Amino acid sequence: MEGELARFPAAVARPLSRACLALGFVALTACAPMISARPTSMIQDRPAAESARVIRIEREVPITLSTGYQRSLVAGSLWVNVGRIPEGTVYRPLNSTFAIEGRQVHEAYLVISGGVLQGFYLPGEINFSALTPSVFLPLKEIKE
Amino acid sequence: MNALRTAVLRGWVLVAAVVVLAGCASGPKYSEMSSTIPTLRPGEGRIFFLRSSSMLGAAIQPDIRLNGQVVGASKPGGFFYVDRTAGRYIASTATETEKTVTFALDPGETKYLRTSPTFGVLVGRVVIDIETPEKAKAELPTLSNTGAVNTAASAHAIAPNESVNSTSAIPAPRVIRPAAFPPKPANAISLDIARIAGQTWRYPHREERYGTVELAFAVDALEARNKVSHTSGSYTVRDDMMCVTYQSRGWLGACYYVVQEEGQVLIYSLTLNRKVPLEICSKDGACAMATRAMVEGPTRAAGSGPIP
Repeated sequence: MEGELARFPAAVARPLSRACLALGFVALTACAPMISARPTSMIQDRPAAESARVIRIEREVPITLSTGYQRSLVAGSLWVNVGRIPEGTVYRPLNSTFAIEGRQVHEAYLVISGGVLQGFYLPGEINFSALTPSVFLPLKEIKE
Repeated sequence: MNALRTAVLRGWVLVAAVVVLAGCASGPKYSEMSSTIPTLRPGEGRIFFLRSSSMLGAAIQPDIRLNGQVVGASKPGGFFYVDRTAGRYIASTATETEKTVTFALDPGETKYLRTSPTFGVLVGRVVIDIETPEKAKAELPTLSNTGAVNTAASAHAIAPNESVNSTSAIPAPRVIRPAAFPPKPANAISLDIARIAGQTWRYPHREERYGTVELAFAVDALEARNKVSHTSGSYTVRDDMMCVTYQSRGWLGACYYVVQEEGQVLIYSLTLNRKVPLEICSKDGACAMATRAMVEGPTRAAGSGPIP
């Protein structure tokens, strides 16, 4: 390979090697790992006396998924409680959407327990995807 | 010789331009045809597919599939939409590798899926992702409708209760608000939108022939129906006053309080100055005469509306 590149002038070889690096990166991203998820069951019904809670993320929270993709929970974003799964309370974005990504893209709701983001509920699949390590969330409850 | 080269070059430029232009979306702009988009039917949601206008990867225009069925193609500067029964969906584009997105669609909800070209290992590819309503709505007016291209093909494949870019025109929305609102009644119940989303409110229409009015509230939209017709719309709640706007001109937008009088919960139309008993159905379909606990929030927070 070095011998092949040596046939090109430096001005050509450098962009070429960069292109190879880019190609390698693309090849890697094309083979991004699948999101790890397991089936779950969400309890949606709320007792009549209990209202849905709305929470607000007070500061932007960057999240690194196990797939290497980055996500960010936007400061000021609002999330409404839509149910519970064994891993925590499930919140969906209010008037917005959120998704996590690996090899594929999955709409995702937050699963929070004790103020800590434990992972994601994937409503399109009824699966839970754990976040490792879990992330503390700066939350403010708007209603309860 | 130079003149010949120039002529050949011009020819190639012209061909290239034709190829590129032919590959771009060329239907009516969203801003021109949005008023003709029909209202959603009860129990259905809407999925918009959009792609930014860009020369990058313009020649790559894969089919877009929804639950395995082709519903259209990803074209630069194009959009189209489909209406589907609420449920779980997987959308995909297939180029060099198949990229999918899974999501849930609620009744009355609109989801936006963006396709965009990227570099693949050997050739370019088009990936699909969920877009936020805010960004999608900002870009849609500049995009061209490509759904008509695929309507015929899709119409054969989809179920009878589904539709692809129906073109039945509806008039512009009509917003009716009283010029001056009466003061908030002392017996007005503090409304909790988080509690209301998912409920269906039922009350008798002022004219018997229209039967019962049903307002099915989603998080950021509502579906309305009576004995004669139905429409979709949006609602806001400010200081416990709910204002409803409908897409169909045949429906009268109005503002309401929910009040409690003599142990009964009533819906009070400010527009019609009319109070009638309110019945509420929960998500699971159980219906009962409204109680304060069904709609009331624990705090009287001013300005609590569908939150931007």
